[in-house]
Amino acid sequence: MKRIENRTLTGLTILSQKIVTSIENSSFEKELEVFETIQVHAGCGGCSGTQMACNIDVIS
Amino acid sequence: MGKQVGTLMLIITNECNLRCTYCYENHIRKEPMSIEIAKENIENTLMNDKKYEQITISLFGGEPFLYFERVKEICEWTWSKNWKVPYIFSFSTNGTLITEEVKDWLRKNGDRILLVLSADGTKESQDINRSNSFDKIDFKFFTQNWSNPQVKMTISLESLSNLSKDIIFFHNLGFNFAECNLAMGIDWSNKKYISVLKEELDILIDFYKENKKLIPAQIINMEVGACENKKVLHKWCGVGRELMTIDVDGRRYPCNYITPMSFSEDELNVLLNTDFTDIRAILDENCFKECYLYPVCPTCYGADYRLTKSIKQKDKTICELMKIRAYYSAMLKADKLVGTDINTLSVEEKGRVYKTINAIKEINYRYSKECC
Repeated sequence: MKRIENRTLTGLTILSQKIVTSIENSSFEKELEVFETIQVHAGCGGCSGTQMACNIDVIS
Repeated sequence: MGKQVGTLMLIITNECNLRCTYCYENHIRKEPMSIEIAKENIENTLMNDKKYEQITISLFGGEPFLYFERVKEICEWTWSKNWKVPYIFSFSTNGTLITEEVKDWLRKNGDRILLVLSADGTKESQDINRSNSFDKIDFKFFTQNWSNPQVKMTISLESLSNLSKDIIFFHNLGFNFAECNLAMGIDWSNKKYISVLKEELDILIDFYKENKKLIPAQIINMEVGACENKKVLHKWCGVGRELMTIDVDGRRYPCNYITPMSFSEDELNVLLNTDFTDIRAILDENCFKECYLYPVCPTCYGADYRLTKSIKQKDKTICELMKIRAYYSAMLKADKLVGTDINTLSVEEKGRVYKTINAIKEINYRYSKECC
């Protein structure tokens, strides 16, 4: 079985650190909020692939 | 509340010429939807520009092309009118009734129709899952006439061992995946499916590493970065609000799963008394509170009810397989991200990458022992 290799994880850690240092701390948390809007398609097929009516309701 | 983007789903017929192994539509009524019912519902929706911003009119079944003349009349009547709300038609078809006459009509109107083929892959899988129908489908018709040909592939207990071949089959034909997922509403708890899924995803990891331009099928392409979001409640689909399903007799239902086709009268009464607009009324609290994968683990409320007899309890037979899907999705994303030049990323992209990396590490920490 395949696995996520340690050298890959090390590479990702380095990448992550570079991202942190490239963005000023003052705006970093705010910028991360963009990810909260990501839509995850339910996959029922009812929308025929348009995903238009999917996952509209997201509440905090 | 603002205007909605929604789907009007007209179940043109309950009938289907196939009997798919995982199909949830068991109670079939013979009468198709009348033209009058279809027109009335289209008119009510497309004239209501105070409520709707954009509408997909989905002609569903059963198999809608059993009643091609009716489908054609409904579409052409709609196209002949001016409406207040922008719309597009979509069809989910099993592809076995696309005659030359149907092909001509679809080609002529291809720019105003979304066509999704519901099919399961190689001849072996298609024939096992979908009534020996492989030879009845002209796959090239779909790929040659649509710039973004879409297929919805369902993985059954019987076709899981063929998963990688089926996905590669559709990629080689030029299809994109509208959806590619494990069949819902059936019991996946047998442990043997875990090793089979791992073996198949191993093959797909290698395939996608060699074919980096392809968009991976959903089974191995979960948006794992969303697991690092601040935890929010999700209603996974348009059930009960954005999705309006009209059965053949004109009655309205919350979605295409929750209709008399799928449930007995008693079961349906329970479901129809559920307020699907209240997320807490349909929330599995345990999943929400306990599971790291909650933000990327969509649910089908109808399929869950079929298995658990509770609208607030998700199908847990699929949990182990979801962990494996998440682990392999993380693995695929990790390989793609390593070596990324951050100077090529916008600030927004950096945020996404950062969260995705955190999620990959967390998924590796939580699930690598059981997944490897």
